[in-house]
Amino acid sequence: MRGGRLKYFPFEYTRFEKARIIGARALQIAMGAPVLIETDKQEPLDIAKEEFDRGIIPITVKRRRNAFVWLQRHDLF
Amino acid sequence: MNMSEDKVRYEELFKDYNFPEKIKGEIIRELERINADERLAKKVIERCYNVYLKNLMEPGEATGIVAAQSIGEPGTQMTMRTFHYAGVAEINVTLGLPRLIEILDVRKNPSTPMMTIRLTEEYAKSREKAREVANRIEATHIIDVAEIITDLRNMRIIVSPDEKALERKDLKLQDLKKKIEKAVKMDVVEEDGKLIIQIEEPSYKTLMDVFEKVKKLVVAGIKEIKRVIIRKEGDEYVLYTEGSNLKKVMRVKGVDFTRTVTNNIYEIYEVLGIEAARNAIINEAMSTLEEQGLEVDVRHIMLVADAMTADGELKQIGRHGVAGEKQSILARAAFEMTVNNLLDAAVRGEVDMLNGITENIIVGQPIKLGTGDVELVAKFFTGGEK
Repeated sequence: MRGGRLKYFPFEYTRFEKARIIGARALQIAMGAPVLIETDKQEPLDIAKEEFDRGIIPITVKRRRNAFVWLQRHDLF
Repeated sequence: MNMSEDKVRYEELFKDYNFPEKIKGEIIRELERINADERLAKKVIERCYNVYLKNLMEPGEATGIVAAQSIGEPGTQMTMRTFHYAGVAEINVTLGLPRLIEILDVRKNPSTPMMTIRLTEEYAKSREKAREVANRIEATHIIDVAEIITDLRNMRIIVSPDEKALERKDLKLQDLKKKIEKAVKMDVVEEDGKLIIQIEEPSYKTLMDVFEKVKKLVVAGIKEIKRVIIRKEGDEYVLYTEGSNLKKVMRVKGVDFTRTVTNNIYEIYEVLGIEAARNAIINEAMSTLEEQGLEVDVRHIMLVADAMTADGELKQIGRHGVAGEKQSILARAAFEMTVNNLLDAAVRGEVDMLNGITENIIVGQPIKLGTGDVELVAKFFTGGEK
């Protein structure tokens, strides 16, 4: 993450997005979906968390606000 | 080293960073204080920017709820000290919860309107000059400068001015005469320093009516301004007034209207416009809370002020404003006057599109907030481990 050169905000997953992705993936695993990583963990949620950290969950988010622009009126704040 | 050159240099470093003006100014001031070189300045700005980004709200966050709680919780502590009055000099000002309610309700006539008038350089330095401006502003009733007697036998009213009082208020007998003539629409005769109003038709009622009119007559100053107090603040004299009329005060000679404020927000809205009103709401609400020793982050207040002013007109928080103008029927019904709202909506044949939060809670659907606002899509190819 560098300076204001990035146009889209937020630049990373928000905590809501993260929770939703991990939650959805944990549900899949709990219902018997193949696990994508080698792990000793037993709980679906823990597995999903690890998968998320390694960036291999095949789920992402569609953002309505990808067109977020910085406000030009900074003097209002 | 040239100071102004430094400032420009720092300013340039901010080009790539979207800081709010206020934070930018703070950083620049601090950089100037430690006299940072370019490399250090760049580092500081980068670090500040990262912290700033971390402090931003994430999309999906329930900002309104957070603001409501952040103002509401300290508000409960305010209730214990309702109707507490404290004075700026000798002027009473409504404070605490009643004042906060007044601000959020956008009362057109606040219970204690007050102005803080700063003067132009020429007038701010000496007490006499400040007094001069104060005289021009403060409403002077005729009773303040003269004695009024009704002469029943000759059916006339005699106004005998007090020379000293006239001088203090910088008034002439002629001014007084003109004012009275204009107000009562009758001829006024001057007789050895006294003004005599002769009632033509012999009616006791007319006499008393004219007498009442003369008694209430404002001969100088602005009608709404009941009292002016001059106080020294730093090296300049500042006027505090009881009563407020921004439009007229701004026109008075000697008043620095760029630094003159009133606590009547609606008046600011009418005279200076919506952005000024927004700032007035923020300032008034913050000072009210601060006075009570409650610390509320400005951003919560700013959100409230934004909600009140977003449409370009001042709206109160409540039935006749923000809450009452919601497009969703259910959201309106959930706030106040449930039956009326539902009935009116039914008569008009309104449709609720269930776009908002309140409606969806009522019908029992997931709401578009936080995790509920995230739309998942399958990502068929993942690059695998980074």
